[in-house]
Amino acid sequence: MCLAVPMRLVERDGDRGTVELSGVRREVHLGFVPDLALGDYVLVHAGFVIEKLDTERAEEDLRLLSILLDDPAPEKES
Amino acid sequence: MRRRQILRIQGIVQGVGFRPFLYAIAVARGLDGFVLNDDQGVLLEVEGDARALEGLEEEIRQKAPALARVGRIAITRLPPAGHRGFEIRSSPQARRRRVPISPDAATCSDCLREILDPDDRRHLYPFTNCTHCGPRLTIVRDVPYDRARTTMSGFPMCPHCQREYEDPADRRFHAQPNACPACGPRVRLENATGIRLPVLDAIAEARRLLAQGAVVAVKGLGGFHLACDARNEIAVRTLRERKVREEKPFALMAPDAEEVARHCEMTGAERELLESRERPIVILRRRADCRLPDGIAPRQDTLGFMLPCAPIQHLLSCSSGDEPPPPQVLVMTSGNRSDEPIAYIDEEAVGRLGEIADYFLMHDRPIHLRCDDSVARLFRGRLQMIRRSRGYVPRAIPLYPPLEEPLLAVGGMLKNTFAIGRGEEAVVSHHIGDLENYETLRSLEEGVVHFCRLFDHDADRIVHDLHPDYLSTRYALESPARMRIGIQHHEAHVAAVLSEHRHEGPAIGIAFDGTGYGTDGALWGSEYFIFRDGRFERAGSLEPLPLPGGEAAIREPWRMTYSLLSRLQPGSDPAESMGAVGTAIPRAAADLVGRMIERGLNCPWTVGAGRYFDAVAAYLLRRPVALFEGQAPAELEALAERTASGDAAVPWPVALIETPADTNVSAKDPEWPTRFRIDLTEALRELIEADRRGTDAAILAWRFHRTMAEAIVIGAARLAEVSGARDVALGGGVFQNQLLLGMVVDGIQERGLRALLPLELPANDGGISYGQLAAASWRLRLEG
Amino acid sequence: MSVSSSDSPSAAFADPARCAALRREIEKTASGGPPITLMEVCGTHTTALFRFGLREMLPPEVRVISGPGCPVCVTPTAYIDLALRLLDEPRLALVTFGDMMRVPGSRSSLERRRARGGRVEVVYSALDALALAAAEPQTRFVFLAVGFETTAPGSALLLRAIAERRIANLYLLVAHKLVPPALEALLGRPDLRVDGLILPGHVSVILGTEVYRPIAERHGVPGVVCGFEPVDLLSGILELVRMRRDGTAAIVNRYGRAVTPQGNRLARASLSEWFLEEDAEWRGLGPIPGSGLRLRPEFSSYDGLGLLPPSEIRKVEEAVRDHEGCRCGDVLCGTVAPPECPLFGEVCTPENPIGACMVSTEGTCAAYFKYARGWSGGVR
Repeated sequence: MCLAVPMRLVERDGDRGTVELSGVRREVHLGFVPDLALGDYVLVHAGFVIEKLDTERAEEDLRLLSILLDDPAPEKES
Repeated sequence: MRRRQILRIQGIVQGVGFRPFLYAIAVARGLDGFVLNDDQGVLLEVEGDARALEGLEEEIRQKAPALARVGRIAITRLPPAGHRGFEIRSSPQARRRRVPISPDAATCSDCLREILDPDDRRHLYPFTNCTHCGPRLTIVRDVPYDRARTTMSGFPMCPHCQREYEDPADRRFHAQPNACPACGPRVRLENATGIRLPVLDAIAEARRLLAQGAVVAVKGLGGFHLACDARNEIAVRTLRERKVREEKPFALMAPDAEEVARHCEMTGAERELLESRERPIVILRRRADCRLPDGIAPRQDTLGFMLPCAPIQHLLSCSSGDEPPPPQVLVMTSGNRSDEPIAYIDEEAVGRLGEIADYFLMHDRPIHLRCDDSVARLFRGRLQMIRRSRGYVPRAIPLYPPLEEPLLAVGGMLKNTFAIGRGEEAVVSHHIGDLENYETLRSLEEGVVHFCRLFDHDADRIVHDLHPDYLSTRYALESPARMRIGIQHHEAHVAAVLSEHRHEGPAIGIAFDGTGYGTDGALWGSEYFIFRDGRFERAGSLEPLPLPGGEAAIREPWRMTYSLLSRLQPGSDPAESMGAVGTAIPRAAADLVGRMIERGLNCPWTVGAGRYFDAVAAYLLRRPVALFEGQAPAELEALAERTASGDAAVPWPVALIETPADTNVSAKDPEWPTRFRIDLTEALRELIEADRRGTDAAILAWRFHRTMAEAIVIGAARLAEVSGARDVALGGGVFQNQLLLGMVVDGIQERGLRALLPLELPANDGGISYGQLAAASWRLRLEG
Repeated sequence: MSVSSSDSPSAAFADPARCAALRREIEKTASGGPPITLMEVCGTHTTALFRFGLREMLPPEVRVISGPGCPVCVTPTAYIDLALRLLDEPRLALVTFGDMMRVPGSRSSLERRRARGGRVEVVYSALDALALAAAEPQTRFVFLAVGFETTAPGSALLLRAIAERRIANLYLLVAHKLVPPALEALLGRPDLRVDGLILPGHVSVILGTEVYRPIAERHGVPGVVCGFEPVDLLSGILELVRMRRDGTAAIVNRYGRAVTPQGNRLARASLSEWFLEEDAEWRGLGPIPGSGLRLRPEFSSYDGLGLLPPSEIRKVEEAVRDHEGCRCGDVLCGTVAPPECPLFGEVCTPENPIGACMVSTEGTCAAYFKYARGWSGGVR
């Protein structure tokens, strides 16, 4: 029920936007996350965007994780 | 000199009488050793004289039981171990679920003989089966396949059945659904409100009621059928009215091929298909002297017939004792209201069908998996599948190229199936139906869970269509998959045909159908591809037309006539030139469509070939609306077939217009414009001219088919020049039209090219899931 | 257009090497210590744990139980009965998410009722109800507004559209549930020992992490907000095991790419704009203070309940009947594993659900049934 799918924002027009995943495009409501740029990854739940996925933060989390695990720094993810 | 061999036999070798078969061979050859079922198939270990071992593999392959499909046989040669005697050993506990479940199979002749033999203990027993026949997929709850994991688990065997079950020499050795009147399921008759009727012989009573004109819901292998006497015009009309199935043809059932031959023309191959153990509904040409009421298949010159596939169906048309003869031809249409899935659970059936059926012929063996009848016909002596379901599913189909990791493909929207691909094989599901409502979506969801369990698959990688509103796409996007792959609809059509032929390209692919979502969000549907190096290049299409009102234009083909005319005669009022069909449309509706086209309101562009057929069909048939998907084109085909001078008719001019060379055409970016577009403007203008001159509509229909075929063939020929490819794969629902298909295949051959048609899968959207697997497999290869 | 997810920011969080390292670290940290029981309260976590076989990767000291994570499953019987009662009204259709269709009421379900002719429209987004209502002005549509904090903002969007466009034939039957009060109630139960909370990812996208801090402090139980990839969950579990070892009870965010300390302010604001908190009934758990949402009184004209006379509502509520033998309540608290319920797998299956936990694909029982067939041995 609380499933949210990460999709990429490819078009927007005010509160309305189009997101894409594996070639499929869908219309979504952007009212709760107005501050978005094309190309951003967003979490879509039941027809509306609930948050922007923060790619920098994702990389930071992974770096933090490897420090926690005393791993050598992993190669940068593409 | 004694030798020992271990034979590991794979394929459909369990639950089909394989071990007793091997037992008989071993004993006849005087071999010692044992045989057992395990998680990979059957393991045979034999020891004996070198000469006794000679030709063993060949004998196994040649004489294998009817339902078996022998796959790979791996032989290991070892020194003798001193086996004495031959035995059937019990199976070790299964670890992985690799063993295929076989499809349901029609009652075999041995069982039928027992049912009809007054001295047999199974006389008139409607659940008689053996290892050669009976229910399989539809009763399996889980694997490995044994009685406890089927819907027969609630019926402990009587000592007599148990003995058969345990005797390696018996036809019923390990026949999991084995049953007899003493211990097995029973039939009962209920009225429309679910009250059981106090009758001794429920089937005899059902026969009597059918003869009187009643509609009886009959529980078969994969679900309920709605039956009535096909010769009784009033009964047929009543059923049609209650089912709200305005004009869709009804399927028929006759007790044997002789009866079918009284109503339809039939070749030897068609008879074979009718009598095959898969028992599909076979589409046959109606005989001129056929006297069955027109209400069965209005305005069609074909009828769909099947023979009984389960004893309960055989018994419906057998007379016994002093009974009056029961109806020999029954309507056997699927037990549902218009667009819902077929009913298969007793309680649900009474709820859903209570307003349609007068009586219910029920039984207490539950159906675990709903499975519609398959529908097939022959094209020039070869199988042309229309709906692949009961009897064929879940038999695996070879997949090319092979997959490194398993994939689940969820198919399209109409005629949905899903498919599981693993290595060199694909298991394509039963017919799920048109995914237009919650019930069919649930049917898809449950089907996926069930198949994943049966085939030990985790649905972690999902392939889907690109259409965002298909429920199958939504399902794929919202399921927690690790990987998703979107495949364009028509690429899937072509990939399916190529995979069945194990073709690795280069090839030309042509997909003609109603509409499908393109990679650019437009509606495709007359696609010419070049396939090479694992990639599809969209190379051509018909000229785009406006689709006024989107979906509404599919239900109301006259809108496409209007749309077409507005392109043919810019400036003039299309409503004026619509001919007879124009008078059937309110002026206001036509004007509305005119404004939509003019302003581009809710008017997406489409190149769907099916829409061209719609436009011409509405015009020539003078009928503005379609009552079911594909009705207008099917009737246009029937109309064309009625012309006598058709063979002489030549196509109208078709123009292949090359698009400018500087437009970017690449596999990566297959956007409009393509290499060429095929323009039918001139041809359609001539059609309308000829109609105004009063030319017979049947001739015009024939020439339109010729023109469409020409459009396909010149496109193929052009791409052959460009690419050097010689093979042309034809996919998409339009190729179910046999008149067109014949013309296309001939035209392709005349140009020195080779036409590739689907083999076991339908050309329509039922084959999309399989095509998605193949196309995804190519893509993974390129990207991996 | 290409193979998806390989390029999404989440892909690296499924990396097997990282999983293996995390697994070793969890084992090292937990070994020799006291047994630790962690609880997750999110249906998507429930399924992810099974799909990735994460429980099997944990050392014997660490146990993960599944709490009330599926909002469909905790929807009380009375709510379904009321929805079904609404269908008796003339020219009325229900609009709902597909998950709700099979939730059992006292005597029937939406699905069974629909099969007998009741009109129930299944949608993917609350906003889909707008088109339905616009197309048929003569029909009254009632949207079944269920779900946790993730879903509730969608209902707020719908309400805003109804108000702005003055739509007269669209109503909501509100039964949204709030996660933090339920956590508070669970941690207060004497029969349940939980050493750490795996906090729900998408609920926290809306709520943020700060709301959990008072709960952690009050009960001395740490919590980690987790995403849904194996690395997310394992690193969260590691964090909890470490905090337990060190005796700290903080709230940590391990889903930083989606969750912020304050959450989505706009979405939260929309909830307080349209709804008030109230005490609510949870199926299997009973009433929990402040754990539900209802429409603010000034918007009562949008309330689907208003379409029934109060006497009718009382009549429905008095006739509510729950299934005997069903142990969904205990399963939802994590005190009983699904196979310990006498109905599980025999009487109660996904095809024929009796209890709510079997209904939704995210329900604990349904997930057990689907993924853990060797449950007698394999799953702890």
